[in-house]
Amino acid sequence: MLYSKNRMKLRSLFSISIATALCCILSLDGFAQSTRSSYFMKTSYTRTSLNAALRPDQGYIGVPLLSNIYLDARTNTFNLENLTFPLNGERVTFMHSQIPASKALSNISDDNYVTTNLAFSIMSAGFYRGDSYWNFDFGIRANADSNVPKSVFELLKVGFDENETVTHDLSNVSLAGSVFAEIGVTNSRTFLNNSLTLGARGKLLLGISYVDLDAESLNITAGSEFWRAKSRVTLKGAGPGIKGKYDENEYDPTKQDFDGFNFGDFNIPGYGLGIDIGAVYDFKDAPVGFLRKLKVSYALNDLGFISWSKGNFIQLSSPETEVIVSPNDYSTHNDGSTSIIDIFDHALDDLRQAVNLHEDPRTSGYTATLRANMNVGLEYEVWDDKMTAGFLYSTRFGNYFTTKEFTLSANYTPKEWLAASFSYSLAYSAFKTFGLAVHIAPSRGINFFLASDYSIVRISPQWMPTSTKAINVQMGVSIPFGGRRP
Amino acid sequence: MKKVLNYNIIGIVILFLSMQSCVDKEYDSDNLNTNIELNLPPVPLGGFDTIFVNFLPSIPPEIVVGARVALSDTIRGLFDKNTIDRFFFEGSRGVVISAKIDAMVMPQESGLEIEILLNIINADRTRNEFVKIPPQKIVSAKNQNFEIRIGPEYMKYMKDARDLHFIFAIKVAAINFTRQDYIYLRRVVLFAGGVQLEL
Repeated sequence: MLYSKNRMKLRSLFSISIATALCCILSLDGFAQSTRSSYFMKTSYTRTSLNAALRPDQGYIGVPLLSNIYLDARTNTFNLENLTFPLNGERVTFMHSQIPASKALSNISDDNYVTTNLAFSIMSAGFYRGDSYWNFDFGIRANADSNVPKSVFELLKVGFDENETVTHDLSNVSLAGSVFAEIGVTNSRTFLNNSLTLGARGKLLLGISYVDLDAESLNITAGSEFWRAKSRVTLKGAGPGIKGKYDENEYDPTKQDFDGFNFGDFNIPGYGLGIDIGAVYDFKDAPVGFLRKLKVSYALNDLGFISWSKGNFIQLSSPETEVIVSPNDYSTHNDGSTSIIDIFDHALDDLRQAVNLHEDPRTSGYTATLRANMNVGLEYEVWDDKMTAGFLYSTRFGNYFTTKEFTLSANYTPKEWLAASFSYSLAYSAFKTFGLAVHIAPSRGINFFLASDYSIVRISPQWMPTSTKAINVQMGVSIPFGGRRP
Repeated sequence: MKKVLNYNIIGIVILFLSMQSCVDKEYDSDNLNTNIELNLPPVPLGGFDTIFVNFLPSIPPEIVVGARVALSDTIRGLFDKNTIDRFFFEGSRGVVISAKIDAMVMPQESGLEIEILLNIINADRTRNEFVKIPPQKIVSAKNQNFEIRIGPEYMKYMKDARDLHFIFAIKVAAINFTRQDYIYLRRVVLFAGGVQLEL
């Protein structure tokens, strides 16, 4: 038990980075609530979430709890191929002593992020009324972003030197995430002889939880004369009846160490509003012949905010804290009460006080903006009513970093009831995967779709991504109604 | 309706076949070697408990000339299982415990010399015969350099280590200890190079 406790304390040197990163691999991001492979598929009702002006070719009622389930995770670094290496017939981590630092850090970028997203539709329906398309949706969304700078990996791998004072700057470690329910109403209309479709989606947001950790400044210096940690870290959290949880410090009973959050009775801790806007222009009436098969679309989504109420919001910080540990600070007693590891753990704990977060007085709630995203699409019909080629550029503006994706797709509709899309996304596929979406959409009965922008997923037997940098999957079941639209 | 159902079944089968995940067995984490080594800075161990040298009354030089006395002290529990596993593991590059030593034992002009002999005591209270730590000599003065060097070749014998035993062999012309005489190791710093850990 004691051994286990000590092990954990030793790991506190790098726990911020590794724990954050590993936890976020398991959490859930992305650009919106639908795969990009479905963007140009006219049978898709979920593409409305990518662009409010895009609509399915038929009205539908989603099967409750099954109309849209979407999971997405992507990273530029965190997979087993980058973090483990073959050595003498087995696989070892990048921190193994026989893996040189140059090799271990060769796969690490300046910023290493994981971004995840979950969208789960509880109820949804869409229908046409004249030229107007209306869509109603109630669902849950969750997202999380985390970033670990290269310096954290350098700390772990290169570490310190016995003969000189070394500083590791760990600034820009960040974690941001939220869970909220969304009630959305979309309306799109056509203009200019059906050439232009404009759409907007208004959203009422019910915040469930929120977290935002920002290590604006965090560095560790150590040599034979002293250890020093300096930090400026802020942690914001929101949730039902959220309160800070503290443990008594093992070495100083007058100190309390932050140890997470406690939650109270369920309530809705935050309310917000959001809007998506989109436009599609069909050049069908263009004077130049080849342009008549072109459609251009643009969407800006998730413009909005969630305001977390005072009683359900907490902010902790360690403003400009500096802790210095020197060899004079400890005593080794000869009565058997202090081993080397005890003193080492004590020194680490003292150093950790530099990032010991203290609760700021609550004066008001907090308003957090949504993570906006933008989609720009070009679609060209290459085979009348059968096949189009598409290019989609997506950008997601995160709290701490922005991610982009470029998707090329071939969208094939061999039968009225069957549509498929084959796509390739440039940023994360690395010629190891491709996108595939299939919609089985008879005009009567049950419609089903399954889609993924990264359909070949390479994983370990424990379901950890190996060479894969992005995973997403989307499925849904619905019942169509009304006639098909051209 | 039956036709639609068939279409759906065929479609689902095609999709699942085409979206089969590839399982890379070489990445099986059950077989992943999770031993890691962290390069640590020198670890501050602070000061050891003061060792007072007041065990003998004053004996004038005309009675005792050229005395040799020995004083021993033990830092108990300095090495526990966690310490051994982390710092004194087989494969370690060796450990050096460096310190400043204040030996305020009789006046400096007494010509006193102290030879410090160091032993590792195992958990069964027997002296560890295998680990040889080089002895060191100091004089009566403050701020002297001192180090305990345990070479990499001895790491395999450190598994049962528990205490660090000091023998201060004091060579002096005449014994004149006072209650204020002491030996104090301060600014003790452990140089281990790396610490071993299993994730």
